[in-house]
Amino acid sequence: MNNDQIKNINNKPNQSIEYAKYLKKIRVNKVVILSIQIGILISLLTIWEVAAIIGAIDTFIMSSPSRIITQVGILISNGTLFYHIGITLSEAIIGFLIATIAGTLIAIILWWNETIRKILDPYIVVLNSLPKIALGPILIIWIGAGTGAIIAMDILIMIVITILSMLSAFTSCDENKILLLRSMGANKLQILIKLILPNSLMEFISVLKINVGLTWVGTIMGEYLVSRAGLGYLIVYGGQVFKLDLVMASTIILCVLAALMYFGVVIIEKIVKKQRNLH
Amino acid sequence: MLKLENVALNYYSKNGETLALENISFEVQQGELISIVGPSGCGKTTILSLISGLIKPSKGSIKINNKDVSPNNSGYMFQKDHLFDWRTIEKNVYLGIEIQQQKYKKYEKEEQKRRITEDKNHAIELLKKYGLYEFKDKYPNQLSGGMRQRVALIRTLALKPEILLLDEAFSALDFQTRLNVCNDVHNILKSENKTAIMVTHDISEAISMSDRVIVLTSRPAKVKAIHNIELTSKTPLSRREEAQFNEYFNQIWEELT
Ligand SMILES: Nc1ncnc2c1ncn2[C@@H]1O[C@H](COP(=O)(O)OP(=O)(O)O)[C@@H](O)[C@H]1O
Ligand SMILES: [Mg+2]
Repeated sequence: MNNDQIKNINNKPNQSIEYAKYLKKIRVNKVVILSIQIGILISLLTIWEVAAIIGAIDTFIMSSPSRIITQVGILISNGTLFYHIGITLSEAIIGFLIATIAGTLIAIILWWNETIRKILDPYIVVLNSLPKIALGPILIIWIGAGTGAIIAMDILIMIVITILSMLSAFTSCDENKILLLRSMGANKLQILIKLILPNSLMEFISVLKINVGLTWVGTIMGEYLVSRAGLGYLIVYGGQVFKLDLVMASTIILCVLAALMYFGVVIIEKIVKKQRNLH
Repeated sequence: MLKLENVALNYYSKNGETLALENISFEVQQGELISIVGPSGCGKTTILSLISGLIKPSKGSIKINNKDVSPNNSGYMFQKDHLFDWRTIEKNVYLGIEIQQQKYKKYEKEEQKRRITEDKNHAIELLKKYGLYEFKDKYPNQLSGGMRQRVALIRTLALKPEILLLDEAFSALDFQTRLNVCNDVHNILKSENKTAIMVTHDISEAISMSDRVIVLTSRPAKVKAIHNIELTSKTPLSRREEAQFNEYFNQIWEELT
């Protein structure tokens, strides 16, 4: 028995050898890409570390992988790491939830009432094109230099794009599908619940994906402006006292957190797609 | 059972006023299948919208069994099946039942539940009767175009409408599928003894399926002629083979050009 036949026994009975080969090719391809990706990361880190050891770069300015690890160790042992992560993470999550939920609710209101939509249209357009960071000083004066201002900045960054994306998803629903429901005697609330909302679910997930990235922009921007704690604060502080190890360590932790949150959304997307039998 | 009397309809839009229908009168009997043909843009869809109660006539009256029409009387079928991708076939045919369950509000909780279950069972019966039950847990994107259109018809029938309105319901299907679906739909409508009005731009389809064909003028639509189709075969497909078929065809063709 050759190799192919053994493979084939492991697969479903009606699968041809060719199909098994095809599947194998896809799997092999996946492994190759992943190995190259990991390879690049490891080489970069190695070059960086070696350059630091032989003195080709100044670790005072460039830091190095081992120094970053040491720094993370210090932050863990003096108990500050989880404190700062906790603060930034909670700001990011609260901002994300408020902006996503409120933005979607506002979009529903605008879908529901065309008059309100027309009245608010120019305001939304202006707010959308405004660089939100410009509102920083105003937020600090109105809300105070604290967590509130950070979350407000975070929400500002996400909410307009959320409203616009969801509204466009709601209004792009096929007119004839609405007509179908109306011909069954549906009222507006039923049209919203049975059609508009489920029809926009995939767009909602895109918005989640966008927001889960933007919320870190907003939070860190907010922390740059006002904070006394959090990863953004550590980065600014590290920069001011020229502790590049601290800056790099905080940045990397930030990367990891942002990636984890993003994968959370990707998992939600997978579940939804599976439930709807989409691939 | 359905009676239109001197119906006229004006559309108003920014670009002006459109008189779509003028002085339309006709009657439809219980169990009849009527086709409406006419030049495109003449007002065929408008007539169906009026009968369904989605829009009100500017003049004249439309009555079903001597009462003003409302969306609860009729079931509408469109060119596209408009099945909801996120619902299984079973859930799709329940759509109208879910929408209309408020009509049972007047009953007690138990009675409400019983009636809704009864409606759903009726829908399931229809799926079984027309060979779609085994697909009830599939999603629309797993079915062929012809099957999807049959599901759409059952979704409409599940509401037990007094009258069915089909607006170019088969024109998105490829030719062979269309012939088969026409056969199926004809069979379903006749065996459920449903009254139906279908709009089509396909003269053969109109003749092969209907008891009568109404020919409209170009806009504003008026009734130009009404033909009694006296073909004797059972199915639309076999009716196309009859000698009379071509006579009807030529006559209507003349009227439309
Ligand atoms: N909502 C509307 N507002 C303004 N004009 C309309 C509207 N719907 C249809 N019309 C016009 O009324 C006429 C008849 O339309 P319709 O009934 O859809 O024609 P058909 O179905 O025969 O092709 C067309 O000229 C169309 O442009
Ligand atoms: Mg039309």
